[in-house]
Amino acid sequence: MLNWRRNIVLAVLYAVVFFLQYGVLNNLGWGVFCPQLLLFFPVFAGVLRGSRSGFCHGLICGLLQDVVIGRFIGLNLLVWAVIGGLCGVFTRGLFKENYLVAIVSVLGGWTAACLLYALLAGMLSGDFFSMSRISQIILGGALVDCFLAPMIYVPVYRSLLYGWLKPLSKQS
Amino acid sequence: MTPRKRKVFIGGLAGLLVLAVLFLAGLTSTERTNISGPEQFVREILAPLQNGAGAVSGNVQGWGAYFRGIEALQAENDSLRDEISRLQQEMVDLEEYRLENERLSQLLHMTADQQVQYDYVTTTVINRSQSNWYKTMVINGGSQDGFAVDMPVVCAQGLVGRIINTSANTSEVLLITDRDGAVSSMVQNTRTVGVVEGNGENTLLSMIHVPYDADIENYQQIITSGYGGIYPKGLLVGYINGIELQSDGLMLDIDVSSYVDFNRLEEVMVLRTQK
Repeated sequence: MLNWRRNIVLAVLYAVVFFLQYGVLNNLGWGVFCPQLLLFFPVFAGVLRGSRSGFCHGLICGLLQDVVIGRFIGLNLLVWAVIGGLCGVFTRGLFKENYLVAIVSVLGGWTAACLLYALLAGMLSGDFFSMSRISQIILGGALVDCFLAPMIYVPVYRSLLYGWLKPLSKQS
Repeated sequence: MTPRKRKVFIGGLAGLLVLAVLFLAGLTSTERTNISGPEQFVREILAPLQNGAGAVSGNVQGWGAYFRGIEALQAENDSLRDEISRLQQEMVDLEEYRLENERLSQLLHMTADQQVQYDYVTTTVINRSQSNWYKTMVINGGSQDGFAVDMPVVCAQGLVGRIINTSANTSEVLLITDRDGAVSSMVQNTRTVGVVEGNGENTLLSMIHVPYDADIENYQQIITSGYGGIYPKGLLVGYINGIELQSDGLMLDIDVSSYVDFNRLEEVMVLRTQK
């Protein structure tokens, strides 16, 4: 029962964030300073639930982005799955109550995702993005997402421990 | 299966999947005339939301102007801008007619003009960009309205881009400021031909493939050349804003500024081919 509730809550969260991101936020003309809300799914799943969960959420978020953007289909899926998995690996022994973990993992995840995407897209198309463009995107996104990270991390953390996102333990 | 073999099997499977995904990404790295069903479906769902967000965003900006007490000034400014844009386009058209007339008077046996005729269909922008990496926008109107791939998109200030794919009610436009949005162009006065392309970073453009001895100056108008078959001849692209000789001394680096404010586009016109 708990897992059903958790899955429904996750599905609703995905739908709300997806429509907020691509229906509203991207249309406000904030350019590189537009928050990337979908990023928080794989990063926080990786940090709080381990690399496998981060990987799976990365797959979903990447696929959603690929469907909307319509170029290099599969590349976001690959990049974000890898980032979700890596977040789980690199934060394995850390003290998760500290929200600095959230800020650093969002910063690292976003930077790595942008660099990996730019590299792979450049290799596939034979036309690499300029370093100034890449750094603009990384800095703009990092600034906004790191500001939002603790605000989102705390409720997600609490919900995972005590709330609707709490997973069903294997014994029960 | 032993744990070691299982690991090798999973590793191999993951490697194959990564290769398959990269292959798919490579296939879709170039422009696709037909987008898939799921992509069309998602775009159709998002379109009303994006429309609403655009309207709300515009309204909020409007309220801000009202409270600052500059609404009247803004309206006047807007109408003057429109007037300037109209006159600029008129000037370009007239200059085109004058030069064409001069050339035609020198040619007694010119073949009949075979240019394609267009309808100007006004539509609204519903989303400026879905990704930070690419310069595209989504407009109202799709295949049901007769829009098709490669139709040019303009606004009062000049060329905006071209349609790269359509769904039933929306179309995606590749802006000329994108790295892939190059336009064959010419300097209006001297008829020097080159290619205008964006750098994908901002709204600045540059004209390339222009020889070092080309007779050009700052503030000359750049128009489309009509070569390449996508853009008709004579659409205003921008004006020359800087000229430098490349380090090899053979070609010129020409900065081109567009009259279009790509960050504030609200209405555009699609040049729909007449049937």
